[in-house]
Amino acid sequence: MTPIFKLPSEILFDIFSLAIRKSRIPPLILTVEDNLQDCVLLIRISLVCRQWREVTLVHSSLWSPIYIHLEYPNADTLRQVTFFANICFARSKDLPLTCIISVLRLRDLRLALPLIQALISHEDRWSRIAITITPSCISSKSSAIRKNEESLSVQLRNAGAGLLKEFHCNIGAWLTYSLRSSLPTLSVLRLTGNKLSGFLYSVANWLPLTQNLEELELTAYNDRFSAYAAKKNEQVWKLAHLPHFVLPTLRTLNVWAPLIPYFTCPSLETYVMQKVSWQDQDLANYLEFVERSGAPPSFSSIVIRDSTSLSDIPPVRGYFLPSITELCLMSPNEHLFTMFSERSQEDGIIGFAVLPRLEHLGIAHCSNANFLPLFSALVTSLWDIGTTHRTLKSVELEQCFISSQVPELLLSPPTDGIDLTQVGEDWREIARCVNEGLSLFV
Amino acid sequence: MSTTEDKTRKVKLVTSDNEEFEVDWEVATRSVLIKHMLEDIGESEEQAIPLPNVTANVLKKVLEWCEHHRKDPEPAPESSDDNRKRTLEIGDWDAKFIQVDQEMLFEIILAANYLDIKALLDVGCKTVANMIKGKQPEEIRKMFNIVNDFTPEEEAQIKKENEWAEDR
Repeated sequence: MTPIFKLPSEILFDIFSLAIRKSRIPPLILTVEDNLQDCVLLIRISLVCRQWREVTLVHSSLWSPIYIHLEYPNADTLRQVTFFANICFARSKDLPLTCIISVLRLRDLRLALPLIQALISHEDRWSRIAITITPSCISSKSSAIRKNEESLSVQLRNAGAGLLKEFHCNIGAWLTYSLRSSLPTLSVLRLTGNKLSGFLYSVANWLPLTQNLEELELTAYNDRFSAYAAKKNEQVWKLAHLPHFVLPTLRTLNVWAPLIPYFTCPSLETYVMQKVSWQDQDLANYLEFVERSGAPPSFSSIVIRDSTSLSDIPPVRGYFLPSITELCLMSPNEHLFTMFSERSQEDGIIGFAVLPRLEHLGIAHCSNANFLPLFSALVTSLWDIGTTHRTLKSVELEQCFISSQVPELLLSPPTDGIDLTQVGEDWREIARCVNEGLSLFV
Repeated sequence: MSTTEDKTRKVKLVTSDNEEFEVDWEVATRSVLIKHMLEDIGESEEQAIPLPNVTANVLKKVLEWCEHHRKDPEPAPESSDDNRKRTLEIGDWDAKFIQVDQEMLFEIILAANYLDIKALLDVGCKTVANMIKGKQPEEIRKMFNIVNDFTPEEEAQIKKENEWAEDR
């Protein structure tokens, strides 16, 4: 017997799994960069002999999940990827389907239609689905799906029904819906669009079918394809009454500011903002939302995704309710560092003017080392308010201060404390706070 | 957890071709199968552990690996995260160790699987996976001496199904 035939099929399966992926994150990769080699190799393995073919076909998990990442794809690449995707979808058989499609800098949205239709043809098995398609800078308005191209629209009929756990799509307006079945396992819904009516049309189709939604993200971006396929439905929607959605299980909400009046979230924990709106009306809507939701006791966390252009003006301060104890700032600017350091005095007690009960501070995507002194001053200020009133407990950094990274000593301090002379000047004050009990993470 | 007494203890192993090996407890228990068998027989030092699926020349090679890795930490229970982090990289010593003829390579894999030595099984599977990567079906057949047992009609049909892959 040929020696390799002595190996049982479960070992062959393990060998094939290892062969088709450089690492198992994500499991099956289709990219232009690696010339689709993982998928091609799996197909080649299936062509070697009957036994190997059987192993590849029997083990449906070899073909799923699938991650498709393409940049600047041309029509030919998309045809090939659609072909491979169809093979993967078919051979993953009845497994719940996890598929991430990321097609970036596409010339014409129509080119992606067969791929999306292939995915939708397996919507009965959807478990975790993410679709991101962005236009290239040379995409013209003619690349949009236009009014007279409604035949190019894609319709969801059950979206995985009882299986769907997560759905992300940045071309929400492209989809039309005839969803009827409930979505009891859907916990995360993320849609990107740029029109209020389009969002309302989408969420009016999704949300009434969910019972356990925990995270909702409805964000507006202009860097996206226009797709008018759903326009007819949107127009029908506009004639109907304005909706309101009470989401009893929702814990994290991130919605475009004009949408906030449409929601009530009594179990809210985290409010996420792409940007903080400086408009008075948006702040008023936010405060009404919090009140309408019953000022949930669980609401303790605010995340700001992009704070590069944030100004320190009263409408901005209004979002940081005194009850908030956890703050995460991504791409912070200098105004933020100073705003959160500002002290006030009430009844003879010194506290902070903004977020006086802050316990956990997160800073992310702050690579500019020039901000390190500002960060150090902020942390020191929050820590040195005086032990009787100190609320800060931990600080977490993610992708920050690349040229002056956090010294390892601060992350794993020795039990007898950090020798401050071993720490560079930039981090010394923070090291002192760590010595006094502040937890620092990266 | 092993005790100091365990570490000085000797274990007897008997192969399918009746050869007896006496090895340190710490070396033998790299195999989860042997470890469980030792737990079953308790303190009886004289009792040899029969290994009917492993020949002497293969066990000798496997014990060489176990000896080198005797101080390695016990493998953590498999989790999906560990599985996802697996890469095709093999350590220098293991790469040299596994440079054997194909027959021995597959025997080591089978023995590692039978004896439940996950880290050794991993080295063997990665080695075969690396041999397969980047090769055409015909090259794979030639390398492993596999006969193409598809009928011409089946092969034509399969090739037609996968014609896109032929161009890559």
